Amino acid sequence: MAEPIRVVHYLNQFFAGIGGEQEANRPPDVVDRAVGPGKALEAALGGRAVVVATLVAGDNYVAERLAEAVTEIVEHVASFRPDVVVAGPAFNAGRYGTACGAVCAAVQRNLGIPTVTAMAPENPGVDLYRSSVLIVPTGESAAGMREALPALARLALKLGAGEPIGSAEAEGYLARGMRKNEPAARTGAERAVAMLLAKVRGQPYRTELPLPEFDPVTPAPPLRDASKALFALVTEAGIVPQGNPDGIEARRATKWARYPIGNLDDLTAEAFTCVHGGFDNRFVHQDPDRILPLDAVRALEREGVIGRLHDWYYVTVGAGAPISRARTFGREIAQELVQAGVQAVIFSAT
Amino acid sequence: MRLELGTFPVREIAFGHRTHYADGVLQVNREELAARLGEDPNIVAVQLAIARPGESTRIIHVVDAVEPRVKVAGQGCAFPGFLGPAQTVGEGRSHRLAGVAVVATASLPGEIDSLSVKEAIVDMAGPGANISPFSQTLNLVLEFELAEGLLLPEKTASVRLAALKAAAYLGETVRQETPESVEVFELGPCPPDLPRIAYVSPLMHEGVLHNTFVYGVKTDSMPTLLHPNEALDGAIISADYHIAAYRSATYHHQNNPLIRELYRLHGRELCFVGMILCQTLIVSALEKERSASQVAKIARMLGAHGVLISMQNGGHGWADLLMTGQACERAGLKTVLVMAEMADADGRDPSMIMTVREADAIVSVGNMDELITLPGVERVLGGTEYLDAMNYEGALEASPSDEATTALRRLYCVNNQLGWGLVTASAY
Amino acid sequence: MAKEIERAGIPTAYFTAIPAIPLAIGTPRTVPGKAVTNPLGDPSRPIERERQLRRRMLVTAIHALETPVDGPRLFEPEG
Repeated sequence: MAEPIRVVHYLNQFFAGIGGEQEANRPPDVVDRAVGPGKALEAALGGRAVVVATLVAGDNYVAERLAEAVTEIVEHVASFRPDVVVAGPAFNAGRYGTACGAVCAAVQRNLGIPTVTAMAPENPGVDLYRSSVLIVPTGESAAGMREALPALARLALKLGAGEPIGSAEAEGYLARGMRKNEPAARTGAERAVAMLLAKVRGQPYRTELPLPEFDPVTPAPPLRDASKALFALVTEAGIVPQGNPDGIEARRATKWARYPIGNLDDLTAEAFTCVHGGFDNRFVHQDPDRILPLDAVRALEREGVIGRLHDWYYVTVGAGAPISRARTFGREIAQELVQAGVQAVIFSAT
Repeated sequence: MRLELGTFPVREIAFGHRTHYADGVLQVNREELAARLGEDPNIVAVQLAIARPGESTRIIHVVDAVEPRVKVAGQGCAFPGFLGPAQTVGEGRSHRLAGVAVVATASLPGEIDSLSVKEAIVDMAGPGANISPFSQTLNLVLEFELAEGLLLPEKTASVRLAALKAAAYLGETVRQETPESVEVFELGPCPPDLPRIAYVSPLMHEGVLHNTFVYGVKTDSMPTLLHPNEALDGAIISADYHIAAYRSATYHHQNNPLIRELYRLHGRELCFVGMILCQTLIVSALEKERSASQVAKIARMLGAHGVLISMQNGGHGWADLLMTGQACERAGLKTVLVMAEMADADGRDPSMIMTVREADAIVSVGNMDELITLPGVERVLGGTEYLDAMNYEGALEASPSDEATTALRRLYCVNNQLGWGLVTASAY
Repeated sequence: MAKEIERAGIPTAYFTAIPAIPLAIGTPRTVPGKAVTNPLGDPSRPIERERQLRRRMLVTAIHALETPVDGPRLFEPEG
């Protein structure tokens, strides 16, 4: 028979049975057995695991000095060499949920020990830690304890045994905002026809790819007077000087660059080319102004329709780019533009 | 239209004196086939090799994979528009050698209009093989060397035609033989209460390099109606050399899994009313709108209640897919989309380049950015070094025989968007 | 990327042949391009008329930059 899995359990003062708000300032304390819900947790672990210690800390103590308190707790955890750490359930208690998330995140990061916690989906700890910590959803109050513990115990056993964790749906935790490949039982074609038949018949069906949300942006205030403003040209369509001096890649570019155009009135095919690998570049090779409209912008500048054009243009290749990277490039370029006093941008994509 | 498709299962393939099929063994006269393919002056040399499931073999530079076929009765030939007139196929009788694929390979560096041929890998064993459609077939691997001074599209055209010729050459072995089994494909009458389902197949078309041919001609017209038998009978030929993971080989069009599944349930659970072809990677907003709207119109004219939309390639082509789905839903048609995801290696990027509210039923064929480590192998076919060392992030600089970690995107057809495979992605 | 420049407080006119994408992901000021292969041009026109076209597209962009917006909006060229 294998050694039982060693579990350390984290609780606040209330669930540890020490007291309510009047005890919320208690510093971390260690008990060398299961306490409060830990007893039911241990029962749910079914003899394959034991709670070797319970760490208890007051809600306010942790909330008022989160980093410091978490460091203390992690040190205690380390001394017990657990295979897995379980925190909560915290239900809808905000300070407690945040503490559970913070403890789990720190234990994983600093000790490399897997963790799992549980709380209500609306607990503020969920937003703060769901991207890195396994969180089992619970009801809003301790009345949900009976439903929460079996799922928590099942995940704790898997984690403690070093077994791989399946999808959020299969394992019953809140998705961490990550997509992972896995084998399906039926081919894509079989699943597609079955899904369509369910949809046509008015039966329940579930998409395999919920629509992602794109982060909202507050639009910049409008230009007051274009004829006095400094404009800049930015493109993600890969217009670069011939020879591609910075080696911007044709797809999934790892860099952006800027090139001078202060003394140019037109982009010629002799001097500039296009390295974007996501479309047929024929027409742009003939005339790069078809993407980066320098000739027309200069004409508008001469006529006084716009104030002045910034002496540099900025470029990368958008093809196949992860959105996180596009965001970083956008921020870096924006920072330069702000420093240069640019007030308006003409941005061309494909 | 009634198509009989006779199947000759191939259990072993070997080189020998005479090209013939008997008792599940396909013997190939290597010299004779090489000589035929070498008749094209653009082809300087061709090497033939056999790759079997489970072998420690890696095939690189895959250009296309084709199932050997012969047209036995009815008009047309195995690959109409390429090896004979562009006559409508899908009727009469065709024979197929099953479990075997002609896998055409060639090193095709360089670019045209910034478009290039991307690396495409098939592993016959190991983790890459578990998800690859062509790790499970006996493969006759053709490695072509092309003449100097040709444009990239001239090279791909020669390889494409040679692969089809080879498949037809092998198909001839069973012209006169009696198949082990015969499938009949016919859109017969259905009970009136069954839901009417149309299948929409967007086909890759990008510039002068990446295409899909229908009866020998590139797809760049308005959406059109096909009988699904035409696809099963060789009317659609792949010429997509972009990202390998989400390509569809000619083999997949010949055995389109969505068509097969719709046929399986035809007359019992649904009424399959037809196949609508359209283009993907359409270059202007107006044409995108027109295409999406025309697909919905044709589906309505077919009296469809539901449409199934597959996909080829990606990028802004996924906008075409979503807009087509949206147009169908707005026309009152229940819609399911089949698509791959591009969620970055850690799976944390949004999987799609845009969304439409109506896309509430999607089948995911997996995230092609996820990493996989391919083991070292004893034998490499198709070339000696990976193709994309220069212009792609995370270039594969290892020797093809060594262990290497790559995004799935370089593995041929592993995220096939006709729904061939078992790979999917889930929220973690 | 255009969203990040807007976020930094600089109004940004985003030219693309596929306006459905920026409209779906929340880019504030989008101006339709002609085609993926030539967003700010039209190879079928003589060069002078192509320049006029490009100029009109930029005038639309300037109009977009001078217009207050509170969410993703498409600016079609006038006339």
